[in-house]
Amino acid sequence: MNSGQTTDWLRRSFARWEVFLLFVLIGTFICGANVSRYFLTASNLSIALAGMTPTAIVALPMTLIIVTGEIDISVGSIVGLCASVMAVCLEQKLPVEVAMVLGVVVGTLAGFINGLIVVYGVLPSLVVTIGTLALYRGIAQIILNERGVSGFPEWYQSIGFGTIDGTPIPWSSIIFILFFIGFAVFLHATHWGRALYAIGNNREAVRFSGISTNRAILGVFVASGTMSSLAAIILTAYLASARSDTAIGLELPVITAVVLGGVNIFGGAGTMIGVLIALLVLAFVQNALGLAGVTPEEQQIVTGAVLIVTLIVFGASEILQKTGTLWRSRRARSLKD
Amino acid sequence: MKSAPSREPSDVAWARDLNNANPSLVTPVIELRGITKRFGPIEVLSDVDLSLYAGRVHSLAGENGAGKSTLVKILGGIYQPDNGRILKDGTATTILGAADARHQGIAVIHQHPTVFPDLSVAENVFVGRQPRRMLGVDWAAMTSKAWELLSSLRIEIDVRVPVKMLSIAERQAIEIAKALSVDARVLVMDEPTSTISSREIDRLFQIVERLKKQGVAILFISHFIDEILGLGDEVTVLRSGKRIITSPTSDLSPEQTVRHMIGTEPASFFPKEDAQIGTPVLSVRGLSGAAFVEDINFDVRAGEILGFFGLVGSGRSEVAQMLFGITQPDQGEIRLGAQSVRFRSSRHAMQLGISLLPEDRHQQGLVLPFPIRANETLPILRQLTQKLGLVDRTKETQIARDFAGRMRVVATGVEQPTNTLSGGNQQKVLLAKWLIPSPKLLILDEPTRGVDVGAKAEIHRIISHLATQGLAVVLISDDAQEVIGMADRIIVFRGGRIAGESIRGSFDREAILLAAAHAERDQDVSATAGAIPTSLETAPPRSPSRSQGLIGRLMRVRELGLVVALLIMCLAVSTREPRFLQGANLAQVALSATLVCIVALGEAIVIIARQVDLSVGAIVATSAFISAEWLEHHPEGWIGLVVLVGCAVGGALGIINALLVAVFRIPAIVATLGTLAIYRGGVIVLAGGRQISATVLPDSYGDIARVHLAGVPLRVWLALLFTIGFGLAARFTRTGRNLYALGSNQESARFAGISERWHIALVFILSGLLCGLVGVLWGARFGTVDAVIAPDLHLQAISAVVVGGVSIFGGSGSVYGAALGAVIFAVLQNGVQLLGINRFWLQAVVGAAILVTVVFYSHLARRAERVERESRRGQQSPRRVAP
Repeated sequence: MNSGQTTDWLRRSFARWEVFLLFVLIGTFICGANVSRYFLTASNLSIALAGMTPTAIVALPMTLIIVTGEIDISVGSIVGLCASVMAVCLEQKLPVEVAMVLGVVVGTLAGFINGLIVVYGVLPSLVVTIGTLALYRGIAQIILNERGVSGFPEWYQSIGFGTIDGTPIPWSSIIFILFFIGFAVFLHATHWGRALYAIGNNREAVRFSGISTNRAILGVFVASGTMSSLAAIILTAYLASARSDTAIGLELPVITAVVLGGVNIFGGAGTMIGVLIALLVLAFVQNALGLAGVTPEEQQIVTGAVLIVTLIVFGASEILQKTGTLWRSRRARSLKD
Repeated sequence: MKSAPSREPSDVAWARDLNNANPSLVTPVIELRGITKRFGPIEVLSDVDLSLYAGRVHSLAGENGAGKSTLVKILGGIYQPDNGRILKDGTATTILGAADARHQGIAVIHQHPTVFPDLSVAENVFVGRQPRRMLGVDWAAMTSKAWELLSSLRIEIDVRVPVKMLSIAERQAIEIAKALSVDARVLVMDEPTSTISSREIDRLFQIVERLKKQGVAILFISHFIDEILGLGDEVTVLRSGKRIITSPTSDLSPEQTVRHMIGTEPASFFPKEDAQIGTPVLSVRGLSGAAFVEDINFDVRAGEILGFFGLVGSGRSEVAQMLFGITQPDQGEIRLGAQSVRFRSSRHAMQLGISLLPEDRHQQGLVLPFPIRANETLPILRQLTQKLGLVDRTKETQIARDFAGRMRVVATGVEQPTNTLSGGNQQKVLLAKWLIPSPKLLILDEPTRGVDVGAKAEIHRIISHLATQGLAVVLISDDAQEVIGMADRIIVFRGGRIAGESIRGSFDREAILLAAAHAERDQDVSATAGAIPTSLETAPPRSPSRSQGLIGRLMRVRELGLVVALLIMCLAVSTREPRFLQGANLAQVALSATLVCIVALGEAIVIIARQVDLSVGAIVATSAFISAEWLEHHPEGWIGLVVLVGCAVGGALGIINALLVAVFRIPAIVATLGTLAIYRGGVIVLAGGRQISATVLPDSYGDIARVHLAGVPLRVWLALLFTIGFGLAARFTRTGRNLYALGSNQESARFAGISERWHIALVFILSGLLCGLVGVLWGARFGTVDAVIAPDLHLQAISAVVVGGVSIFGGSGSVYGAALGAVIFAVLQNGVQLLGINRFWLQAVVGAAILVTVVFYSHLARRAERVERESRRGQQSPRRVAP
């Protein structure tokens, strides 16, 4: 995949893409309100948010991975694997808490293996995670076959679609917000996050700058595995069931949200805020369409179209921006003050 | 190698009448009059005149930003002038694009040669213009012609080697050969000497002499005043887009030239101050490593500038990287002060007080889109953090401003992205970056490469000043003048060992240069300058080297290896379960392979062109449903119409993909992610939950499934036909070779005149068509068609392609491999079923198979590369030309 486009430093892009997305979000609300008077109700918004949470949680580390120039197609399978592990635990009459812990361990391990093969095998992550997509899903099928488990306790299910008492705010959204803040601070304000952007732009230069690129990339894949396991908990709670085919195809809406959020697919640019807005856009677009009687399949068309139209429009504006940068750089003066 | 004809090859135009080799001074080959070029409000070139005459070298001098590269781009057809005229042989002309420039006989050699790493040397020379026989690309002719061209220039390279194995100097030579092969009348050499060693420069200049004798007009651009005045017959100096002076080089001194370039009195080139030299900061004893570096011993003292002089590849950079923890030495002792150390990593070396400014500032030094500030602080980011790892931005900006000011970086501020800075300023940013950690030892690898005169002098001044402040400096350079001017001591490297040492005060330029090159000077310097080889027997016939044989074998091994793996699998399964070999079962396997195979063919050519198509499954489903529906409503029609309908649907969807990627420039992975959703959603809506069973369809439909030719089902024949067809097309058509070129290096493909858009559009349309066909076949195979078929087809196709040996990065692999990959997966699936292995294991086995294969290929490729590199290194000594 060639990274021919010199994407401007994020500060410059920030204003344009994220603001543009904000307008799209506002537009979505307006359309949604027009479509149905139930759209702006607290309970509806709450449902929309809760439904998006599993995707959103996985989108957080996926942003990090794509910023470094890699990709993880296996997230759906890791979620499925964790769900299957938890299901087996419950079948064995283990306490739910133990199942959850085991799920997180398995997810983290799966992410670690992804990272290990990519970093130390020096292999393209697209191909490796296509392989682990099959492998992890396969293991899920081996341990759970076609059985499904649904005997979850009350409190567990409330993680999925329960709300804080007296408010319409879903518990899962709180969990997501907390993680979002953590990831956003990590990516934008810490030196680790800065290193990820540098790696996505020029891995060699980072190697020559005293930063361990191997550890950084291993780290983001581990994060992806761990967050996938958390998504598995939330998803199984939401669906009140755990099966080996849980979350098949999850990688597609996750990557859609990240790219829609303005993260360059080749790495090196993008913001967490953008991804957040994109997630909201997707959540409410789908919700509004659902209220309008549009089937999930038709919603799929709209999602794909939103992605493509946004990219077309933004691509056009990038060309305008490039001529502006060239002009600015000519007005230089010495920095010796 | 076939024997050469005993007269000059007539199809290469430098077999001209030697009498006309005397330059005609009357009409210039190319004349630029009053050329003006603007970018926005900035006038980059103002009213520039330039005349290039046959058989003469015209040098172009000027600092960075003077307009030289813009002028080159105008000559190369990349830019059009806003004002002014271009005259060729006295008549007005326009140069529209790279291909047009080529047609008009203008060839441009760029600083970083635009080559296709995955393609062979021969293919690189003839890219876009491969010689043809009746049926397609004539490989034999291409190989022999390439060899003729290169050996006539005395360039000894095996034309079958993939170019990624070659050095920059060798790649430049290939570019020159390429230029000759198009009968170039004008050769533009854009800073060819910045990235090659002095001995290679000598060879380059001999080639230039030969080109002059053949009547080629040459425009030569360089930063090195010596070369500008030495090689050129005339020189034009540009400053700020204006032509300052054009003069015969004999009338202009170096100082005058520089004065014209920078407009003021040139500062002294090498303002070395005297520094007090103290105790050794670094001592190295018996250092060996990097496969060829052996027994390096030296000390560097505080305040001392130690010069490492040597040709590219002599081991200087390798030693530097060992001193910075990038690579580990095999043997030897390194002491910092009194303590013996071992650098575990670059961070460790940094902590111990060492800084390295690497050789290639774009690849290894800068993160180009980052602002100056972020680049400068990258190594010390950890120290700028408060708790929780948060970066202290005020402190960061302060430090960045401070050091950028000290280095006199010219920019709008520390927030300016470094990709908009000139070479000299970028280098200064790097210097700042590596001074911030307060090193005790600063290793500078080619710090003034590609930097204009003014900035060069400034950098030298800075280095000298640092030494006076007690810093120990290692200055690595292959510019003898620079090293003699700056160093207190010089160590000469040759072939990974130390070949000589000298101390300031007794520097002998001749001796240093001699020590760095080989003791036996090249025979070809005097003997053959200007003589066109009348017979190619003067060059010894090059027998295939050991490495080339290995490469050849490895290239074929991949497909062969796949066949072997396939046979082993079949053997393993059939020994356990003989039912495998039964006709009915084999037919099953073949059939289930067929559909994926055809899709994989399309996916393969998409991936070879460095794209990807995730929407294949959705296209198949759409085509399947629409064609089945059509057939339901038109049962009496000719069966062929259904196929057309299906292909039309697939083609239309492929065109949409093509539009998004080729015209709107949306990255393929994202575009097809979107269309995957749109197409799938679309067909689901269209189907409205309906299923069409093959039983309601006319018999002719089922016939597709039933027809056998020679006992083999029709569909298998189809798959075979397509595989062979695409395989042959990929190898023997120009379009096919262009796809490989495009996948190998998109930018170079553009320069070679290959239409990027057209070819990218082509692969997506082809993929769509193939998926359309598979859609029609799907119903016949599976009995029912609904909207959710083939949900994972994109993953199956990509897996087959990858297992088949096609690199996900494009440019290499074959469609045969992809087809074999599809068969392997079909056998795997069938085997799991027959062996009674729990079907739930299938997915896991598939995943493991993919991972194992990819790891194996990568291992093979890396081993091949290493073998090739080592064998080439062993051939670095000059070849003796038979008298």
